[in-house]
Amino acid sequence: MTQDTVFEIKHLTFSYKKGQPDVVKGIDFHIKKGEIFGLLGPSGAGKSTTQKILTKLLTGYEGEVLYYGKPLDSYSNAYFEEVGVGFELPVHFQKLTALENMRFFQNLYQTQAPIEPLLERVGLLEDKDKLVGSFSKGMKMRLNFVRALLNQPKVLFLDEVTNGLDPTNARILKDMILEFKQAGGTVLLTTHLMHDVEALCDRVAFIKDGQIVETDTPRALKLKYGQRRVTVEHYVNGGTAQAHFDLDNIGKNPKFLELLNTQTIETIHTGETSLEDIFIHITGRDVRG
Amino acid sequence: MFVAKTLWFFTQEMRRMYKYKILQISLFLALLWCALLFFIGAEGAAQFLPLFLFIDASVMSMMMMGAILFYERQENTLKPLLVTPIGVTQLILVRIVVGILIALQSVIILGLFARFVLGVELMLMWWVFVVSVIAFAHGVLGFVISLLVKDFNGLLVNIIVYMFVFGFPSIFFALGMFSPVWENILLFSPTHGAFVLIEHGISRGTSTWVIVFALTYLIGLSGFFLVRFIIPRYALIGVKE
Ligand SMILES: Nc1ncnc2c1ncn2[C@@H]1O[C@H](COP(=O)(O)OP(=O)(O)OP(=O)(O)O)[C@@H](O)[C@H]1O
Ligand SMILES: [Mg+2]
Repeated sequence: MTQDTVFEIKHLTFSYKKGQPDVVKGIDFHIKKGEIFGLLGPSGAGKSTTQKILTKLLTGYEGEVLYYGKPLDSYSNAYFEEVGVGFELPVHFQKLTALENMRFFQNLYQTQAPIEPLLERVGLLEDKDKLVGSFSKGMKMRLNFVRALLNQPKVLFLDEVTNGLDPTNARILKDMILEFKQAGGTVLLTTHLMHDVEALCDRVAFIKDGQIVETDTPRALKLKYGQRRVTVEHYVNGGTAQAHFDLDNIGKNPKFLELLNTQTIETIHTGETSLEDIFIHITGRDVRG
Repeated sequence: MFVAKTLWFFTQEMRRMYKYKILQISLFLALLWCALLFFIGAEGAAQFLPLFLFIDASVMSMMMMGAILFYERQENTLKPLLVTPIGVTQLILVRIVVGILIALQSVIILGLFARFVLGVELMLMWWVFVVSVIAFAHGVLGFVISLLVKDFNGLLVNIIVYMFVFGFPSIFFALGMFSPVWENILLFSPTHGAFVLIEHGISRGTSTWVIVFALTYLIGLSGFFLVRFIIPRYALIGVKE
């Protein structure tokens, strides 16, 4: 283990109640400094539970959780000066305004990021004096994200942060997460949205029923599970026909070349397996299910 | 730094009590008690005032604490607080102090009104002191119950049961239905101790050992619940919800 390892998790096991079955069953992974690490898996797999253990919200686990080489529980509350947590559900005082909420939490920290530029970035500056109770779900989620950044954290924990956001706002948040990483920050991202993963994650771990079944870079996973194929759609007698070709040596494939030379081509797609396909393949369940 | 953060948290919690109208409701109740006293008149006021103060410091303290905690559950605001450098113990203690201050608002208003408008002879500073203790004890009790039940209704039911079990014997005793020997046993009821302490503010007749016992008992009992139940369980219960 090097200086570059922020978290080292060894044989982590957790159960919500004594005598009840474990919901996290002996998982191992590590998070390197400056990377965005994705924890993926179907609903109920144990993603949020794992994240709550790393944010010290849940204790009484078995196994080891090391933060910069030392057990997490050896750190005092000063640990929270360094981490920012974006929760999966809205967590605000509904009868305070957005700005009041942010000030409330921010002043509990020593390092303080300017609030208004953050609000402006996520498009909430105009609404800063409105009661959070009057916010839409998406507005609350954006405010959740701002809250996570209030103390200029070094490590960000994000649990389904783009949940309920329109594509534009989801993009803004993703950009901000990438900027956070570029500035040297480390991120643990929990999600089952594969688009977010493709856009953000350096490495991912697939978790299923409390166990990690695969850990790698998205690219390596695609190479491992991918079918490298090209699908060509072409015009035939007033309709569309499809043909499939192997990507390997495609330039020397006579059938492919003939098709290109003789037919009216409508579309060409490389049929790389998407992370979504891999997700379904690995976890044996539908992402949307 | 530590003190500054805790102070900030305290002022924000007070401010929140205003925004959530909990301060106003408490103020309104205090004024209502004043109005009642006014209609009762100076003579009867000396009798009813301790009862009103007692209800305010016990039942209302439990309900205020419940309100704070159930809002917190509803709004899911415990988790973000737990990932700030503020500690759970600070969090709990600040809430209990806030509860005490809300109770003091009432006793001061009622006390001043009774003293200067109705001319009732009373020991206001004594009341400020004992109401602090009683509000502390009942704030703790309200806290414990709130952690054990699932909603505000559950809390109300438990407060009613508590008042029946512990409050009625004291009332019967006050009505002379028990022989005085029973007083020693009744002192093990937190409500009775509370009532005796408040009554002393007007009657001044309570023996020192009864006062010392009642105070020690209330502080000891609630201190026990605070340290053994609330502090170790609050975060756990809140997060697992
Ligand atoms: N407070 C709790 N008490 C008991 N069991 C719980 C509690 N919270 C979660 N669980 C159980 O633990 C398991 C993992 O839950 P967790 O919230 O970690 O899943 P997740 O991977 O985050 O799912 P999602 O994608 O739906 O957010 C589930 O089986 C869930 O039922
Ligand atoms: Mg989750």
